[in-house]
Amino acid sequence: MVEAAGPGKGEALDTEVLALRRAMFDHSILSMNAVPDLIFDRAAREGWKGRSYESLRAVSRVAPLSVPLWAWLAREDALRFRLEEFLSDVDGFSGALRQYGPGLLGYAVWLVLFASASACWFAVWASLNLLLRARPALTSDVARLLKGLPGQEILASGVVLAFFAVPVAFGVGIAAAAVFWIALSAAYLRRGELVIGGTAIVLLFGVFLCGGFLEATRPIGGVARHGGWLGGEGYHSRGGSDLDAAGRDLLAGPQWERLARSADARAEMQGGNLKAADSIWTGLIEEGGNNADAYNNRGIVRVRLGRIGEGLADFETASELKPAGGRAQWNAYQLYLQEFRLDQAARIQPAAWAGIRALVPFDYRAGEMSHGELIASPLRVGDVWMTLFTVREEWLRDAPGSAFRDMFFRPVSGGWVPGFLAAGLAWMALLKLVSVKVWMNSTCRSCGARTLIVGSREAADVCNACRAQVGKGVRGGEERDRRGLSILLHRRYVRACSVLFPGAGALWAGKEFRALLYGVLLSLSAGLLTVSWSAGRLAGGLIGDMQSDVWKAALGAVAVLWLLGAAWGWRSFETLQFNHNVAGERL
Amino acid sequence: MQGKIADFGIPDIFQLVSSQGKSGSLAISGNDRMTIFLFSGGSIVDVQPDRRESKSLLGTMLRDAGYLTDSELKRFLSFQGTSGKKIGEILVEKGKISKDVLARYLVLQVKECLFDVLTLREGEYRFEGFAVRPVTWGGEPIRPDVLMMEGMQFLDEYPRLKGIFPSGDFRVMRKRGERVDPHAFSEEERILWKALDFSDDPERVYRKACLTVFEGVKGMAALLQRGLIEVSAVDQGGRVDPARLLRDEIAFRRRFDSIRLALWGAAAVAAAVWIHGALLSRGAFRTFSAWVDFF
Repeated sequence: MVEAAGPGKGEALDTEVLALRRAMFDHSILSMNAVPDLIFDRAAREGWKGRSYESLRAVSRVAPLSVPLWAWLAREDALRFRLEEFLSDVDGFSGALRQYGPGLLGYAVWLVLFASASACWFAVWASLNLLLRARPALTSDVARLLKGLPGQEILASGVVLAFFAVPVAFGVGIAAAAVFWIALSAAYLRRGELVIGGTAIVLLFGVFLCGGFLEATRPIGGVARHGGWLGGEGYHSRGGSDLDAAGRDLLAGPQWERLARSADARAEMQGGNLKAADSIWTGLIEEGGNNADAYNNRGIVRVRLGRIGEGLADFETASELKPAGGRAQWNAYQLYLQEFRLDQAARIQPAAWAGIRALVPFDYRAGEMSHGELIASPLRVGDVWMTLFTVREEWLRDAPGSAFRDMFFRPVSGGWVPGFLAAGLAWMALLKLVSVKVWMNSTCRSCGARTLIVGSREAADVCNACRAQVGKGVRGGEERDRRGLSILLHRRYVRACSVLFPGAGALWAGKEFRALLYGVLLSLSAGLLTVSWSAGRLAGGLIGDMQSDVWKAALGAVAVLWLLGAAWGWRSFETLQFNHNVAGERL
Repeated sequence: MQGKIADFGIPDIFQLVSSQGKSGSLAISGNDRMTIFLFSGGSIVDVQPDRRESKSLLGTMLRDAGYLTDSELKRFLSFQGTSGKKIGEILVEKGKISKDVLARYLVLQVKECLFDVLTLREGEYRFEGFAVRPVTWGGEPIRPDVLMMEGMQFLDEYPRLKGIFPSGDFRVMRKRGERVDPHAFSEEERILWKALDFSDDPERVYRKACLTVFEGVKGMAALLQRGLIEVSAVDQGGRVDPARLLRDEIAFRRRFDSIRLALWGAAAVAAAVWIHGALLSRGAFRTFSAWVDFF
């Protein structure tokens, strides 16, 4: 089939597709997910990737559970403005996700990775912005500690720069550095900014747990593509699933256990071990629960074993348990026809045809269903979804050994990460409380003048001169010159921060919650870039092709948001200064 | 009326103009300088010091007292050239100083100029009579006979008082930890004591306190004798213009801030590389592309 694909070879490919579909029915195989990947790889290799749409559209009938194929087709339809096909492909994509276990697992893992990457970007964005917001006042307070030493302001600036640079220089994980920077800044922040810092730390705990989730899920992915556990749909089975190595012990719970045994039975069916399959399906049915799919599959096995009557009974039972299921009615209808029980066949014929036509993403056509084809039921992957996102102790247990711990939290050892994050939060709260009880520096958000204050820091973050809107209208002399200089340098600093770290200007202007929202948007875009860029560069095939487009779009979104954030911060700060009569270039 | 100072002394000249209630200008020249006093009805209403004697110029006095910066003084002087108004009038109009402050410093200027001309032993004088109407923005006319008594005291005591202090430039400051009773001070001492907060340069302290150099030296000597202040000599090479000091400091802070900004920029670039390594590098990709395997 892969050889038959290509531009202008539609007829030859259709013949191959029909032949393959018949073979798939004989082995109860629902989908051959490897086929579109192989065709796309060949197209890319031979330079007809751009004209591979027709071939891939044709093989969607033998690979209906291929999530990347449906996504790729939907993208092509969107680009070519084919609305009807686009809606149909979106249906196919949705159907494949709901019925193909590994696809659903991949989707879940993608979501977790995307959330983790976005959370890390948010923590980096928040911690850097908060540190730069606190830097002037922090420098003044460090200078107070160095009182008596020569050049104390220069020394203090060096110390604060070192606070920033040391984690970078030593290659500390970004989460650990972010917590350190946020903790350092806490005493000088407004309440809204503390919310941003606190949110970042809480999100980092989420990243830590996501590491545990991935650690628990990773081995399943390692074998899914090779026909093992959950990989049976569409790949050549090795005559049994890799259950012990790949899944049974990883995700606990009765639903997961049941799903694992179902996968075993499906693998046995596809491998032709019908007695073993019958035994497993029977065991599952005896345990009770919703067994419509198990009855249907056992019916197929029994028909293949020549136990037609028992098979028919199973199909009838499945139809009663799941009247809208489609598959069992079709299989019963086929058997009635083969047994010449035409009255019975005529009775269920409309429901059988309507049922299999509604089995998205499968495409069963009347002309091709005339050889007594029996349709197997796929795994109930909705149970996978439920099991995956049930909060489990394993997440916390596996998190210390996860790749995320080493990437983001080094050098904090795994067991100490929750404590480290909790200590960061506690330190923030403590420092904030202490800062309203002792004399500390505060930087005027408008003009940059530094004042030693005690008490309500929030109420004093704009100096009296700015509140009175006197601009530089203070008495002539050194004080006036110094104020002018302070305004000039402060403006330069905030503008530089706004450009390098978008949103910083808005924080200086007091728009904390809007800045938080902006940071979330920027982080989501950057997170999408991280996850899609990695797949675009490493995955290849259909996924790699689509992810290349996604990361380009994500990069564009990041660039646009960056520019908008810089302009917004710049303008917000200008407005703040204007409102306090220190705007303009009259220095 | 004109003649030589050696023939007709300065006190006599002022006595004559005052007693006869004359109006007009009295120009006194000597030591290559000329000072002009303006009389109205025998009282002094204004004085014009020699331009080369900058210490007695009103603008300089107000700058030394901290009411103006160097750049503002230059701006107002250039404005004075175009408007034809006197500097004091401009400053009051612009709201830089009040009329009371102007009046006090005009009196101070008259006193300084009078004490200065009293020291002349050779020179000339010339009086031209004409009607003078005192300006509305100025202070009260000053009777010369009152000033002359202070002038005589200045001539008698100033050399002795000056001898208490170092001959060159010196600095004064309050002694640390000294407890003072403000009620024990004379008026001059009290003002001086307060003005010591302003600067350690005695000339600027006198100006801030709105006292003549003689009054200032007298008060300072009294404080020194009570042991409330410390005096330290500075060598001539160490004397620096305070305005220049401020300019230098501002220039330094600008340079320092630029360097600091550049260093933070470099640190930000290093951080960007570091973040790239954590979230966008090939190593990170291996983790972030784990989901691909499932499809």
